[in-house]
Amino acid sequence: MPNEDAVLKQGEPAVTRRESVRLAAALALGAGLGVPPALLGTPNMARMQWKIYKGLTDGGALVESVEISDNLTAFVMSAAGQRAQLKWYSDTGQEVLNMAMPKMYGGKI
Amino acid sequence: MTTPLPVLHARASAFSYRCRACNRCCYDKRIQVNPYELARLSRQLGCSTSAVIANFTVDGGTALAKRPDTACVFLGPNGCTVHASRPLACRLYPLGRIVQADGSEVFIELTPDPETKGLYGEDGTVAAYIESQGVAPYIAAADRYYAVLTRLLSPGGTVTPSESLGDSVADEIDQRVFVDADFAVQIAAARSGDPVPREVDELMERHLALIERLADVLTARQ
Repeated sequence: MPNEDAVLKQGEPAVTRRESVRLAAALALGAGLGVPPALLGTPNMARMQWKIYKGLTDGGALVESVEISDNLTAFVMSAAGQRAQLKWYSDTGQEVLNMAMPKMYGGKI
Repeated sequence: MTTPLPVLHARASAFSYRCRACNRCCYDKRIQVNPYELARLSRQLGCSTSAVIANFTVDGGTALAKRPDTACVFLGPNGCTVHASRPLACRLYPLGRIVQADGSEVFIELTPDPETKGLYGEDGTVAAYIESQGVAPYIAAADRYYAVLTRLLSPGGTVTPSESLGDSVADEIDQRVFVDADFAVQIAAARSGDPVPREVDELMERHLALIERLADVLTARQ
């Protein structure tokens, strides 16, 4: 039976290598499930709130607030479609992510 | 500047959509694909998931490739060439699905292409529409893979690596293992001598079992 360290590259700090593999795996799996990559890299994603605003600019009236917490699956969006704005907040109310929907999937993951 | 409001639905919401095969929804979209969807496509195409990833996807096998005119790689002269195995995103269209923290769903209505010929109405429900598109196994698979993702995002588990690592794990963790089911299961099969399943559901079960163990390894306390 192989030791767990067999999966780690020799010469690299184990924790760093393991953590990088973990994040790479999460990004790869999350991208196929439609989870915005920026969300995966944010430590408090489990306590965030999704707010949908009327406009692209800050200050647009709040239309809908959706708790996404720790489960977001099969979310698909046209890259040229929705123009509503999404914001993620921590549970303390601090804004941690702010993007227009078209940007969400515009870049290479 | 005022922009169109996103329309949110529950399964019981009044909704209907009739596709008129204009194929406009097959342009300019990022169509995400998870390992189950890759497996479904591979079996219809008669190849491995590795071949599907190499030939028909971008971003490491997480989204379908597009042609230069932004059409989906699988769009043919007469429509979708993999319609029987089309991904969940395509089945849900013109809806998107969000699963909330308490397990409840929200369906968001996507902004139609200005040239769409699809007919929107309210003479049905969201539930009836998505059922007609055969989404159930796709949603179930997505939820199961998402459960692995949440494990990956929760470091500090109580399982120690030596407990969680079985004898069918690759010598090196390659992130492809988390996306490419045939690739992953082949590695395990080479050790166990078991054949790689051709049947999609069995392949998914074997794949999920593998990556769940890897997730335990990667998130175990040091």
